[in-house]
Amino acid sequence: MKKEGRKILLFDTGNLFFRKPLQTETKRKDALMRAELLVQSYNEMGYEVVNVGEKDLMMGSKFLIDLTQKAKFQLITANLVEKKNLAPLFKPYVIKEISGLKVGIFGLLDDFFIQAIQEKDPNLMILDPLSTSKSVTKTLREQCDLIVLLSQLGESRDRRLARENSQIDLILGGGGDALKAVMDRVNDIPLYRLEPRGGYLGRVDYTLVDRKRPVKFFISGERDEMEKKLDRLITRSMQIKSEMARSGQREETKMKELKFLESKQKELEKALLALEQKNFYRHTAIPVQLSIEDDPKIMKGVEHYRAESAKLYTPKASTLPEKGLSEKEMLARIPKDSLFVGAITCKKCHETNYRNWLKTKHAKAAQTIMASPKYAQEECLMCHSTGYGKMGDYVTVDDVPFYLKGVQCETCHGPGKGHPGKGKMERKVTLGVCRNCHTKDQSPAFNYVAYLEKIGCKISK
Amino acid sequence: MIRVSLFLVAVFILLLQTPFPVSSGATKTEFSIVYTNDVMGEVEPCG
Repeated sequence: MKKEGRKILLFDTGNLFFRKPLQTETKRKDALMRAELLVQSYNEMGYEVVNVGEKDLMMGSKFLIDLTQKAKFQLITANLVEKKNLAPLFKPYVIKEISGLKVGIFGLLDDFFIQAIQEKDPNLMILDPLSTSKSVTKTLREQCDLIVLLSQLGESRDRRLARENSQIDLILGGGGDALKAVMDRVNDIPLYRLEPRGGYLGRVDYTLVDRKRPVKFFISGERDEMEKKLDRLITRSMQIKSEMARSGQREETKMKELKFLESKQKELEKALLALEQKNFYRHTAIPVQLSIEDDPKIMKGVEHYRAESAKLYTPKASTLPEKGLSEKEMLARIPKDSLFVGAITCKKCHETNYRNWLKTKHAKAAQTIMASPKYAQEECLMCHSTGYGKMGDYVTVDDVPFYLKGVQCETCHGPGKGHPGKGKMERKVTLGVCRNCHTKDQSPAFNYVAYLEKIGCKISK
Repeated sequence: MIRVSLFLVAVFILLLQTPFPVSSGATKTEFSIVYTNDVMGEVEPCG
């Protein structure tokens, strides 16, 4: 877009740096390296403003402030303040100028997470987002043509905010529990968010014609529909004229239809002409495809991170290569109290299922990411291993215990500890279970029925 | 002097009658706000 000469403002709505609580020193070191890489990459990409989410404060506010010393982008949040004097910890808003318009951007943090934040920073508090938004927008409205909120409140609170604060012109959302994208308008305020994990880029294109203050933008959908309708009318008129020319006859019904179409055409053209003087916006969610070339500078940073990260992890006994071991020896190496027991354990009673599974792509899921070093391995291990996040820290494939490599039985059916003593495995393989990993960006061709047929291990007992 | 005045009047009348294309005068500008959210969002691990 920049190469095309288009003016853009690039934002992130927050929860950028950390994913979950970092319980070990190793994880903290790894997370710090990753966060530094993110700062460098965002600088390289030209991000201007980043909102602070509650996860960004996981290592404390001082850590975040220190981390972003080298950031070229501005960290903002309007409702995170010091208890003693209610002074905001970060800039509550910034004002950017683009195409002669002033755009005010402010950020909000979810006050639900105050306790978690106060564990690290007892001197901080989070003000109510709605009342904060009203006071900030009152200030910004005096100076700005467009007010944008970068939110980490979650979808339902974003909707409530849109209903109760009409001064906001655009809400870019994040946070909350929902994993789905949102493209909606509430109280005429556009509200957008993308599926998480960076698989998409959101783009709101503005066309500015009328600069009279207050500047107002309309959604282009209505104009686009009118243009499509006009195209259809013109096409149909040409079709009728062509039919009459071929037959050499002026049929009455066709003439009537033509007259009707031409009057509708004139109405639409008049309406479209009136719209030409209006300002519009249009939203698109762009999937970040494999076809997009990696930036060499950022890739260098990624490769450096991977190499440094791999040094942090030392293999455990149960991760030693299983080649040359008998099945009995392999089973003996699985810790007795392990939550996940591995497909090799399931094989004892479900041999046919096990052998069916061995033939599937799930069984080879660890090898596929080893063969594609292009991708950050920990990112891929979330789905290309079994029990990720529940079985201790491993970052590279080599660090995954041998009995948990790939997508095994327990990935779909739940942990096997206690089975069969505690009864049947209850976990049903629903569409939601599959969609956890077969997301739209990672698995665009996913079809639940067809894919289940391919990897289902066929009940034999 | 009279000839000049007549000439000017004639020009003025011609101008009134000739439909010059009046441009809207408005320049169209385009820009974009591009964003990302929850880049480090989690996939809920199975199990």
